[in-house]
Amino acid sequence: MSKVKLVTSEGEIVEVDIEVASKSVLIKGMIDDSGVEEEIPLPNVKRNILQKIIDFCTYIKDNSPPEIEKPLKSNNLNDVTTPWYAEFVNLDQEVLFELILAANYLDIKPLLELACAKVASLIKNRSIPEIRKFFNIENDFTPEEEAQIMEENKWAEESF
Amino acid sequence: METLSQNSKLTLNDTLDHNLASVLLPYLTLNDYISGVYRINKMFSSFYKKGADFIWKTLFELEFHDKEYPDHKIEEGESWHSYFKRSFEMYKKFRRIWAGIITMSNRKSVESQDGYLRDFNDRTTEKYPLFQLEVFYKVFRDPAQIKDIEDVYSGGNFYESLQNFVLHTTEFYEYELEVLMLSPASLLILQNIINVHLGILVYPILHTKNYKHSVILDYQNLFNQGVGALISWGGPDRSQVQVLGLDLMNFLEDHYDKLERNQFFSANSRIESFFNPVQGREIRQLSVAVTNGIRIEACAKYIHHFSIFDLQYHSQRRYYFTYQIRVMVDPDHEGEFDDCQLTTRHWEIYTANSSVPEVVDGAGVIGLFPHIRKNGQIFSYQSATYQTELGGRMQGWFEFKYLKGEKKGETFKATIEPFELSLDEGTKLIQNPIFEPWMHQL
Repeated sequence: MSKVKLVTSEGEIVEVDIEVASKSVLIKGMIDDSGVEEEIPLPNVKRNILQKIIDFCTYIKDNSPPEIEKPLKSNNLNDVTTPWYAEFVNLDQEVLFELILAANYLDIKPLLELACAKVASLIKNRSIPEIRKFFNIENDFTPEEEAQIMEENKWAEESF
Repeated sequence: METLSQNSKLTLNDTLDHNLASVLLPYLTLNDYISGVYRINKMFSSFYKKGADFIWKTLFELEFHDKEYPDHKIEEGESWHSYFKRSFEMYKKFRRIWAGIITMSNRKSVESQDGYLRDFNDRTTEKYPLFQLEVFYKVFRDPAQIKDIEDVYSGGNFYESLQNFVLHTTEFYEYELEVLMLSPASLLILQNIINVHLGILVYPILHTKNYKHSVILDYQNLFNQGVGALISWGGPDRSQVQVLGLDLMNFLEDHYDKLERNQFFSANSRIESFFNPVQGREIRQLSVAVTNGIRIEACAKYIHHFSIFDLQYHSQRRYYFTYQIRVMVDPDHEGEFDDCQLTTRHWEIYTANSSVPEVVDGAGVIGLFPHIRKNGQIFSYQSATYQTELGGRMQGWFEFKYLKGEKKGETFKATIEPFELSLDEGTKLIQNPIFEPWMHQL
């Protein structure tokens, strides 16, 4: 099978089967336009992330994609998809976010959705202070602003 | 696309933008939203605002079965956020009103009706053709928790398996009319019965227990009173129906208001349909009079499913009324009250537009000669009558004899002021547009 050359942000060249690489709509478009002779630079994708992507695209070549129902029924991905996919996104936060950005850039929808579903599962059923702590998010509301926005959303809450 | 230096650690805040949020947020539920995802920080808050309107569309589709209903739809130029918000607010309004009806009814009743309110987080329903009906059933809980309609039929007398909320009771002669707010299972059973007998699909929401009477929600506007109007029909003559209200929300709000202002008589330890006098409100079917310290209240109630209208089939129209008479010592009476006893009754019954009444004189009331004393008790009884036209009235007096005091042995007449034999305010009778003569045989 023919291969295409992808260049990581570190400058490393990785050869990937066309069928696997074409799971990326971006890459497929480039191949359709310019063929496989030219190297395709991916300045925003590190080597380790690219490897994860290759693993994913290889897997979905032969397996049905993860179809995760919206919204999540629980915060455990094992309840909504196969063990392989659930385990695939069991990653450090930083790697997970890099994967999201890369999947978005490369336009690999099933991977993007899987990774986002994972983030959603980490948000779900956590209290707001816990979410902020877990994701290292600063609360940039002043107390007045936060009170104001809570007031605006009172309509959604149980009132008695 | 961000280019980051090798040293900075990538966080969720760095990663997300509006586009990625549009992939992420649909995995979260309304409950996640309510618990505060919208206020994690300003960025998350901005994701949920107007720019991410399709998220609200997704939430709407998760919360409700359809995107639009004959009685509820998104307005031109309206955002999904606004549509979702006002739709959910309707759910909350139904919940507040229904919870209030249950609480106030139980407060005035010896028999408590429990288990009729669903949890806030328990909101799934079946599909219904009216938004208000679907939302009401998000709130109304069936204590019988019937999962399968077949279970109801297997028991024989299905009334025993079904549980419905009694809104009020009307008792007179040998009749006890309980008006029920129907559970989803009961609605299906009645719908099936009516479909079998009449060949039409209706959505009954109220029903008089043990009688061929229902109040249906007009989801197709067949009766031309507006989508969702409450149409009362049944009994021996379906050629006319009574329009009880604009829609379910209005009906429940009205019932709530009446409970709140103590408009339903409840001294018999249950909510009855007969009205109490209400400060500042004129109720034409109700009269109050005080004579010599004796207060007599009279209230008439039209019973649609006992009435007949079709002169092509019956010899005479009959508008059927039950009325309740309440006799007591006036609460405002000062000083001593000498015990007295009711001896005779005198009634004048006027048909609308006639000046010559039917006169009835008799001893006692329903065979009784009640003693009236200043002990806080109310003597009440019910009777019934019917007329060939609406808008008649009854009035009269009861004669009392003093049993004690200086005037012992003397008699006096205590007035019963005129009270109208007409439909409750806000209701009306109309020809039934889907009536066919064979329905008289039902």
